[in-house]
Amino acid sequence: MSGDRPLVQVDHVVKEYGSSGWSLRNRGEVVHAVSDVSLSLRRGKTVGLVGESGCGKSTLGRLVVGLENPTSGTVSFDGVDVRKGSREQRRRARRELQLMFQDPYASLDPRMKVGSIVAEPLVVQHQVSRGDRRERAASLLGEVGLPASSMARYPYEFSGGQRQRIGLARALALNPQVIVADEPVSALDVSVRSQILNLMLDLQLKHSLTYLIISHDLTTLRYIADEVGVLYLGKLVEWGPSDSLFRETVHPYTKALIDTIPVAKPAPERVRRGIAVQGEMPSALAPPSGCRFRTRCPRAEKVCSEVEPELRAFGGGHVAACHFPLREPVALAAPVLRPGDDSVAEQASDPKSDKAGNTTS
Amino acid sequence: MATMLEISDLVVDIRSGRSTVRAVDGISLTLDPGRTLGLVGESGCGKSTTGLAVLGLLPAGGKVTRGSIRIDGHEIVGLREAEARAIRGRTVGVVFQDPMTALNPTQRIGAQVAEPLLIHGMANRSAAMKQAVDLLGEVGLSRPAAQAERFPHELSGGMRQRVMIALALICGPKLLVADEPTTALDVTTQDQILQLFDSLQQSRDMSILLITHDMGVVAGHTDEVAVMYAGRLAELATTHRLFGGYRHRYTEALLESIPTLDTPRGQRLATIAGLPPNLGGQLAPCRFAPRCAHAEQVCFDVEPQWSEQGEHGYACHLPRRTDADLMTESAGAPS
Repeated sequence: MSGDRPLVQVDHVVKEYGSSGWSLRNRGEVVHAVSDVSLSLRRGKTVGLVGESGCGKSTLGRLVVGLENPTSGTVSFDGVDVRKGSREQRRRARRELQLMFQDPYASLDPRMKVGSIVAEPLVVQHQVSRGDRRERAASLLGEVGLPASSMARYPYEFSGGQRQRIGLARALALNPQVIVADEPVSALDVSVRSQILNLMLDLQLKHSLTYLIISHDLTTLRYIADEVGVLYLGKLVEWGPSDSLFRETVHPYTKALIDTIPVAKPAPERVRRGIAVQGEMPSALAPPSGCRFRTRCPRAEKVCSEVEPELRAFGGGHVAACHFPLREPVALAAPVLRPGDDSVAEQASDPKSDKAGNTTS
Repeated sequence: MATMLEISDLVVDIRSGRSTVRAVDGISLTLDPGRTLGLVGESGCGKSTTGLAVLGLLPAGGKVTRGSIRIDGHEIVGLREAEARAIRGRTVGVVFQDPMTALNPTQRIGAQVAEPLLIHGMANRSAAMKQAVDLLGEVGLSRPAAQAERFPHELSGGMRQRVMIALALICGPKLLVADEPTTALDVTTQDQILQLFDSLQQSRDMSILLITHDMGVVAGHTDEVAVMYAGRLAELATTHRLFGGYRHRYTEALLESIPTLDTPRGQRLATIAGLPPNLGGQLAPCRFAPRCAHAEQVCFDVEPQWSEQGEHGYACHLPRRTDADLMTESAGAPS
């Protein structure tokens, strides 16, 4: 079984900030950053998370690599809760799950030479002797397409794309199985973006890496991810195989995100159409009752403010939480709790199955 | 009809310390009333510098060393600052990328939006405030009178950008310069702001110079497009002609390196090798040649001349052949 087991499982994870009352001004106010999100990462595959700023996608990424602890719920790596395992197991999880940061200008220590930046994880995890570290740093830089001479230089001497390569080399230093990349290309120029995306695909094949890629850019995710999850105000509203999510979209919010992508294509005339989605995302301090998207949703009705929609299966591993989906679900009363798990696909293809039900039980 | 903005052979040098960088090297553009021109390119291509030259906001050390900028028929290059400001003040509005740094954090937004009217002596205080509130409503702030009493930090990014737009429009400009106005915003908010630009342009008959790196934004919201590379104009055409039959190899490479919703998953993306050149260093005659997949010896020997046909111009020795070219060739039509 362990061969089929998802490499990373996120189960009912909740992250709230400010509930401890550390701030006098905001005492009692709680930011609901991530609210009951479950998902799985399968070995060697790429999952994309998309959403607007403040939807909780970066927080979820930090929870997965263990930079934040969930308020409730669990994150497991290879079947072991990353917070509850033995010291050695926790240490291993830290090694196997690495984060690649968004801003290549802010995430590299400007006073450290590139060689030390790349080798630092090896020092922290006591991986190799000092002499071998230089060799390892040089070979890591080679893997991301930078010459070994880069080791003796400082981050300011590199362009944005090159810095993102350095960030990638550092994330690879401990031979992780999973890399969580938070907006890996959004700070880069268009012509450099494709270089980094190609490099990430090459490295994935070479090292069987599992990626969790967080981005506000659906086009990038459509291209690089096997499965995509859509977050809105801390909730997972839709999840599905990349092609299915784009071609057979279920949730009105996902539809709005797709419709607002500016397309670099010849248009017969300047397009005049209605605004895809009105207003802005409400505050995570006081999320709307029921469906959190209802305040901006063109399809919302009374039930949307009263009952929170559960994730339902729409076939082929595609799930969404919406009372008025854009197409009909396959199994009406079967909430699927952990998107990305193989059982979702099985269940969806056989809606009458007795097993259709709580997949986490 | 007179042109709203006419830039000819503009050269901007930026001096820092002992070195001088030619950030804009001889570009020419025109923008007619009521039209939108997209100025597109990567970081450092000179698109923002061009916008700043029009606005008279070049950074310290920056100077227009050649060429002309005419706004609504008035030449502003060579004028004294006060004279140029008098022309720009009422004619040109500006929206920058980051509304948080462009707004005064200590002043209520209504007062900020009203201020230009007072500075230019176009209204008294109470009339200016009323105009500001009306305009805040027009750019999409709900309950504008109440919002006018708030400070910038109390608003979301999208709302702040709407305030910036109101501030740009308060004096009723004929020309709006928008430098990456939606780059810091989410796609849904970006969509709202771009549609706001479109409707404001129609209701006010404004010209817009839209500076952006995003080909998608350009495709949907401009009438004409100028593609810049390393301080030079690579290609200039109506938006429809450009996307229907781009000729310059840089435009081609740029468009092909962007994944679209139709790009097969996992397929390697076309890339542009290397990095944009350092403008302070040695530049090839065709500045894109060192990164161009189609470059031949001539590109490294001779500067490509600007060639123009109808509403489409470009500077490339070995331009991409369009579908129309290929059809003509296959028909064997003697030219």
